[in-house]
Order: sequence, then C-alpha cells, then structure tokens
Amino acid sequence: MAKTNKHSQSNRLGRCLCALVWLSIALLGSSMLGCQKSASQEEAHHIPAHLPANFEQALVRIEQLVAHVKDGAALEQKPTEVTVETELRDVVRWLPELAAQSDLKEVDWNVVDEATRDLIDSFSQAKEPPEKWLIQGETLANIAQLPQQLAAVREKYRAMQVPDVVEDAESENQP
Amino acid sequence: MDSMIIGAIVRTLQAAMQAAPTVIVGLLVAAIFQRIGRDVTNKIFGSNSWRSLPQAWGLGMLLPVCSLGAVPIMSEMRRAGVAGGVILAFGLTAPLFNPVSVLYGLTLSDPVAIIVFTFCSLIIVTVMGTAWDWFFTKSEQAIEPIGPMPYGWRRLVAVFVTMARMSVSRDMLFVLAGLVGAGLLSLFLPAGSLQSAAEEKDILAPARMALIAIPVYATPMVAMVQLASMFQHGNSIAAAFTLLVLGTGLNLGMLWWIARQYGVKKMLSWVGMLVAFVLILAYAVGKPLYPKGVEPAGHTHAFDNYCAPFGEGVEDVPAAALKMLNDSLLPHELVSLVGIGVLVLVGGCLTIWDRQGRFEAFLASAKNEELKNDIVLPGYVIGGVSLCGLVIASIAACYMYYPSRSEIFAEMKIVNTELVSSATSGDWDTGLYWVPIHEDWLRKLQVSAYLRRQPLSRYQQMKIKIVEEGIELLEHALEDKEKEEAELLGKRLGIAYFRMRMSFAGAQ
Repeated sequence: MAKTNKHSQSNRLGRCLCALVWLSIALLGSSMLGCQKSASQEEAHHIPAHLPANFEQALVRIEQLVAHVKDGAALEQKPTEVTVETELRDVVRWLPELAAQSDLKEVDWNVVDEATRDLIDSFSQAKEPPEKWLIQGETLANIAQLPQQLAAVREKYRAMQVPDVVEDAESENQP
Repeated sequence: MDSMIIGAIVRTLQAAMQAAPTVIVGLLVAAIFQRIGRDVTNKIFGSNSWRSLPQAWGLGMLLPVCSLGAVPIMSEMRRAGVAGGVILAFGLTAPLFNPVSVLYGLTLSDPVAIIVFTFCSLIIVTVMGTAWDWFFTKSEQAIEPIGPMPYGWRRLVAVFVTMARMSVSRDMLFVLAGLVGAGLLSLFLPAGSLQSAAEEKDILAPARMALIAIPVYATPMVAMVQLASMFQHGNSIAAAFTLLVLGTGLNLGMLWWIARQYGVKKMLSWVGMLVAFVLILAYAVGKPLYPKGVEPAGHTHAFDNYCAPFGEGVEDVPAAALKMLNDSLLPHELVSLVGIGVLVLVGGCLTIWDRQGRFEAFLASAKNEELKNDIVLPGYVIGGVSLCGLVIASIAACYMYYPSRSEIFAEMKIVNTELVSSATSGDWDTGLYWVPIHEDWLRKLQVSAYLRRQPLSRYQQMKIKIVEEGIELLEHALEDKEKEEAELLGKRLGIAYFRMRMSFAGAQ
C-alpha cells in the first residue's frame, strides 16, 4: 500500500514537472516564432574598421597607439568604433594572422608568434574591458617592445613586398 | 508560398538522403536481433540488470546509426522484452556519437568539451533510463520467440528477408514521420533565420535550441560538424550541447514511436523530463567549456540547413531545388537509397504474396547439413568476433574517411581551383557548390593529422585558419552575387591556399 502511494506521488511529481517544462517550451516557442528574421536580414561578416591592411601597417599602428597612450602624442587617425586601448589590444591580437598573410617563412613567423603569445593569452583571460588594465603594469611595456622585437622580421617582410605596378603607374599619372 | 512548400520537400528529401546509409545499418542490426532471438538480444543488453544502461550506452556509441536508423532496432529490442528505459537509453545514445564523428569532434572542437559531452550523455542516458523504469514499471513486452533458422546460407537469406519485411513495416512510417518533421520545420524558419540563434551572450540560446532541436534530424557526423563550427565561431556551448543531445538523439518519428509503444502521456512526461535535464546540464557545462581566445563571429551558418533553403529573390525555385538535391546527393547515399529501394521492392512483393511467412518457414524447415571440413561456431565466438569486428571496422572507417595528407591535397587542389575560378568568373552557383566541399577537406586535413600523429605546427594551423576565413568571406560574396568582391576574394583565396600548401611542403 505504502509502495503504491509512493509510486502515485512520484507519478504526480513527474506529471507536474512535465507540465511545467512543456508550458515553458510553448511560451518560449511562441516568443521565438514571433520574432523570426526574414531572409533579407542575413548576417554579414563584420570586418572591423580598425583592422590593419597588413603586418607592416599593424606595427606602425602599434607604434602610434603606444606613443599616444604613453606620451600623449596626437593620433592622426583616431579609432571610430572602439577605444584606443581596445584598438591596441586588437591589433596586437591580429599580428600573428597578419604576419601569416604573407610569404614569411615558418621560422620568421614563429618569432611573431612567440613575441605575442603570452600577451594574447593574457588578453583572453582578462574579464574587464582593456581600458581598465591595458595601460597598467607590464602589459603596455611589453606591447611597446614589440616593434623592436620584431624589427628583423619586419625588414624581411618589407623586402618581400612587390610594389603594385598599376597603383604606382596611376599615382605617377596624377598631377 | 510555393517556394516554402518546395523548400520543405527539399529539406525532407535531403534528410532522406542523409538517413539512407544509417537506416540500412539499422535494418540490418534489427534483422540480426530478430534472427538471433529474444534471449540473446536480451543478454546483449544486460538482461535488464544494473549493467543494461551502460551496455546500451556502449553499444549505442559503437553502432553507426542515426535517430531514424535506431527506430527498427528499438522495435526489435521491444519485441525481445528489453526494459523500456534501456531501449530509450540506446535510442538516445546510438545517434549521438560514432567513432568517426567523435574523432572529428576531438580534433576540431575542444577535446575536453567532447569528452565532457560524452560523459554527460552517459549521465543523461543513465538518469533518463532509470527514471523511465522507476516511473513506468513493467513496460517491457514479451513476445513469442521466433523458431531457429538452420545455419549457413539459409540464415543469411533469412536476415535479408527480415530486412525486406521490415523496410515495408510500420517502423518505416516512424522513419518517414521523422523525415517529414525535418521538412516541416523549415516552413517555420525562413532562410538564414537561425544565424544568430546560438550567441554566447544570449541566455535563451540553449532553450531556443531545445525547441528547434526536437523536430530536427541530424546524423552524428552532421551534428559534429555543427558542433565544431559552433566552437570555431565562439557560439554558445550550452546551445551546442542541447543541439547534440536533442537534435541528434530525437526526432518526431522517434517521439511517435515512443507514444505508440508506451502511450502519449508517458512519452510527453519522459521528453519533458529529458528536455529539462538536458537544459540543466547544458547551462552547467556551457560557461566552463567556452573556448578561450576565440573571437565570437556574431553569427553562424551551422543551422542554415534546418531553415528554408530558398530566401527572397530566387527566380526559378523548382530548378534551384533540383540542383540543390543533385548537389547534395553523395555517392554512398545514392547506393544506400538504391539498397533501400531493393529492400522495399522485395518486402512489398513478400507482403503481397507471402504475408504468412511461408518463405521463412521453408528456410527453417531444412535440417542443419552435416559438415565435413567446417565447424559450427558457438554464439559467444560469433558475438565476440562481431564486437571486435565492429571496433576494427570503426578504426578502418576512420582512416578511410580521413585519408592521408597527400590524398587530401590532391583532392583539395582540384576543389580550390574550381572554387577560385568560379568566383573570378562570377559563376555563383558553382562557387557555392564547392564552398562546403573545400571546407570539408580542410577539416579532414586537420583530423587526418591528429589521427596519424602528425601534429600541425602553429604556423600550419594559422595558414589553415586564413584559408577557412577566406572561404567564408567568399561564400558571402557569392551569396550576395557581388562580382568585384567575389573576384578579389577568389584571388586572395588562391594565394592563401598556395601559402597554406607551401607550409606543408617537406612535411609529408
């Protein structure tokens, strides 16, 4: 008898739980179907405005941003979508990928990777926005050293660049 | 309206193509279970003891079946008197993983996450199986055992005949319901509408995924590809887990099967509990497993296949539908569809002319022949060899599915050339056809390296990442039919591919 009661109690409990779950599913369903996007609203890949065009430009930008943050040097191009600190963090984070978008050999790319790996790891561990931690402690000093650390790789990168014949010809024709 | 209905038909047929190979495997396993008899089948699943649930989980992990292929096996387990909780545990696990998909997940998602997902599935199976047997006792069904079949060719023919009969049985209606459910889902989801459905910061993402996932049909491999894509795009891991368990493990056909066998109330109670439990686990593991250092892409294409295939602006929908079906049909799927066709034909003839099973009676009537230079193997030897064979076949399948690096590069060279040339010449449809194939070979390259213990250097990984990003950007340009951008991105992809290929020069 006691066993039957226990069983019917557990059945009731199960039914209540089940009803609750199905009710939540129905509510969620109606809210979800009510806010469907149409096909024309397909997501596009957002390419950040502050993404440098190449490895060389990234290093130049790091130099400019570090000078701005450390010494208050004026910025010719101010970031539009993000803060200076966020831009600095992002450009450092993109360095290995930008370096890999070239004909740099593995041994040279490894120099870029090793110089930035610890910094990028520390970025991913940060829970607060870069404005709160990037200019403090050793992080900014380590970032400031990057152009110097990567000077040899930068030279090799520059030597590999082929001038854009069409662009040069066009600029020569312009008055 | 027409495009929506045609879209739903396309999604149903695509699901049928994907399901065909695993449905054949399901029919074969179910036919073997029927032929080996009630007692042996019961023994395989632990004879309704404490071992039954882990054994069902283990067998489910090894068998290459999907949630539709599992239906005939579940029916046979039911006929054999296996407890309801064990049947559902098997039905839920078998579609989740197979060795090829686990290997894929280990390489392209976070290995820790896949291991955690695997153990979470064991917990779910154990809890839900136990809950079923606790709430709904005496759910097992006893049937009259089928008479023994003489060994040799007669037994093999009997297995084929059983498969044929099963292919036109009521079980196939559940399979059809699962397929139609996948098609109907696309009626409610406009093209591309799930691209931001699984964002990491969206607290409702796992719950939303649970709702979509139940009618979804996904093979283990498709689910693992989606999981890897979600990891790479920084999507919600909790949503990924929900999709894996509910999307791969359940479908409308399976729910109908449970309702038919045990009653609607029991089915609803069990599914309700399952959804709640999966969501609790998903929310618990989602945050700790989130990959570090991944930049959220803000969207994903992983679920585009569950939405309507045609958005606005498609002019000739029937022609586009035919092309889409033709493009998505893979050779092994075609062979399996032909195989199912043959089974249905034979099964249909037997149903019309031999409903009483006279043919099987004829096969069973012969006495065992006397053997001269042969021996009759005992059941445990056959069982052991089958199990070892399954493991060996799984390992071999992994090596076949992920070929050597040189073979992959030989294929990828052709694919890359086709994609780049169609992008630069503005051939949008051809370009979009080659995009997923190129992505697939890139993933195989990574898994093959992992499988063959040829670890990729960080340099090589970065080069692969650049090619992947190039393909994704190009895909958008092709979809939007932007001529200049597609041409530029096509050329860039060609260069990125060449650099990636060069990073492997001397490493083969």
